[in-house]
Amino acid sequence: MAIITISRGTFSGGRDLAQCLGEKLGYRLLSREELLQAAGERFGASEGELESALTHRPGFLERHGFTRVHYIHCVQAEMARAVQGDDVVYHGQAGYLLLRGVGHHLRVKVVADMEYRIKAAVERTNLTRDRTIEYIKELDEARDKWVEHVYGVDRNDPTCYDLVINLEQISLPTACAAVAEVVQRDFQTTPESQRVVDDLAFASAIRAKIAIDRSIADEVLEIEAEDGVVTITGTVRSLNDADRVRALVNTMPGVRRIESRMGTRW
Amino acid sequence: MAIITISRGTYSGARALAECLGQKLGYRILSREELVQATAKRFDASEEELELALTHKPGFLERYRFSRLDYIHCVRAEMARAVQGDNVVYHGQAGYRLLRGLAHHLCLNVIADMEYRIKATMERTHLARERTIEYIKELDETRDKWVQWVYGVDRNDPAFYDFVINLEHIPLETACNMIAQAVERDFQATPESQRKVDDLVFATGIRAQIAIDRTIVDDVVEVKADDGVITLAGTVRSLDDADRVRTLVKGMPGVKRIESKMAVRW
Repeated sequence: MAIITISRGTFSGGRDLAQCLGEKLGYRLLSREELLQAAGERFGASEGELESALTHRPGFLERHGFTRVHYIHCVQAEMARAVQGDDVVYHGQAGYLLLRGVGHHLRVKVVADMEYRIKAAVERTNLTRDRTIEYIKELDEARDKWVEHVYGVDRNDPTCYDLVINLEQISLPTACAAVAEVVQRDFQTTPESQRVVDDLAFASAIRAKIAIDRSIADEVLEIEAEDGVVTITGTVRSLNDADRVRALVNTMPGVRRIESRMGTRW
Repeated sequence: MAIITISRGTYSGARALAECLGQKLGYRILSREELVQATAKRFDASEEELELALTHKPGFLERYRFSRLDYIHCVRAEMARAVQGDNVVYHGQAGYRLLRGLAHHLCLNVIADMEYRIKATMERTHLARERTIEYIKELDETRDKWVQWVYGVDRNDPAFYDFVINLEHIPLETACNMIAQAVERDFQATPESQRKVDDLVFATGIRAQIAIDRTIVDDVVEVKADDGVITLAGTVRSLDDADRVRTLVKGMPGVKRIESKMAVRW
């Protein structure tokens, strides 16, 4: 009973590791692509919009009045819901960031030397070698910037993860056995850690609702939930917006009490 | 039958992991400090000089008998000899680069979040918190620069290691089990990989002899060995130096043939 997120560099073998773990532990697999699809269905956003919110930094021009951050809230909410039922292996971007603070969440990153990634990419894409190197570098850079911008962390800092595995050096079965061992020994769900996930799913769902509500011009609200008590902090543009936020949260089933600490930005 | 190297950040548990692996696998433990001691004995250098060569980048003024690189060649020679007998867990700085590419070498890096390191360091040193942070940062920076200078790589890049383990989140016992299993599965010495170690011991031994020979002004001579055939590459300062290098190598027991590709730098 645990959640594993596997962050993968482009073409570094994360998908294979996820599949192996899914089989070995009997866990459900969730890819980044599936996560975006589910988030799109749930919140009425197109996958293209979500995709671009997850790959590019926000620019000055944002279509429809939705900022990239709003889409990210939708993805966050879907991620929390997807792992609520436990026993999940997620592979793809940002998993370790979306589930911060969850005790039964093992954060794995797979890496490979550049040469290995180039070979794997050339095999899959049929691009020339030079073009492939450019492509990988562009992708890496875009992701670096995105994570830095959205979460303020350096995704290449190994302390973001519990375990980093070099799949060029470590065979897949060995890596798979190693991760399974760690999960089974030390990352089992406890009632307390499950409560953290439940609260996260609840809070992030509320946050996403606020994000997609076109009548609220919000940017910097934070929602925390603890067993039905919802704390709202951050700033809104007007007192009317603050009222709209409170009214919206009030209508969500399961809210027992609201602690409102919003400030207004003039 | 394998060689494990553990690179450690300051106070992040490498020693404890090395001890656990040593016990579990019945391997000999070699610390950086012991390596420096053995090197000093073998090449008649002072531990203090070696220590400095291993921690600081070269300045313009070299106060000691040998250049920093010369000392480093001595340490490398001793490192290679120490692991020749196999079944070794080394913990300390820089060991991994020398042995990279050996099939039975498992290369680990252990890390911990800054907060954890601060606490652990304060417990040991009784320094004030701010002074401790400064101390850790200085050490980190010095090591970063040293590795960059000697090997031209960024030691924080996780792709240089087979596993990076966050010992703050993965308990020691689990990490130890996991690594022991990976070693037994994937990192057993083969006749071929053992031959590579033997060649490495021979080549680094010769390289160190050149380094400590006061009659040769060398900086950038490279020595490779393949079953007694020695290839000399790189540059020397004069044809006389090239002759002296060849003469020295010829005199080493076990040399079957010399391929000399040295160039003279004017």
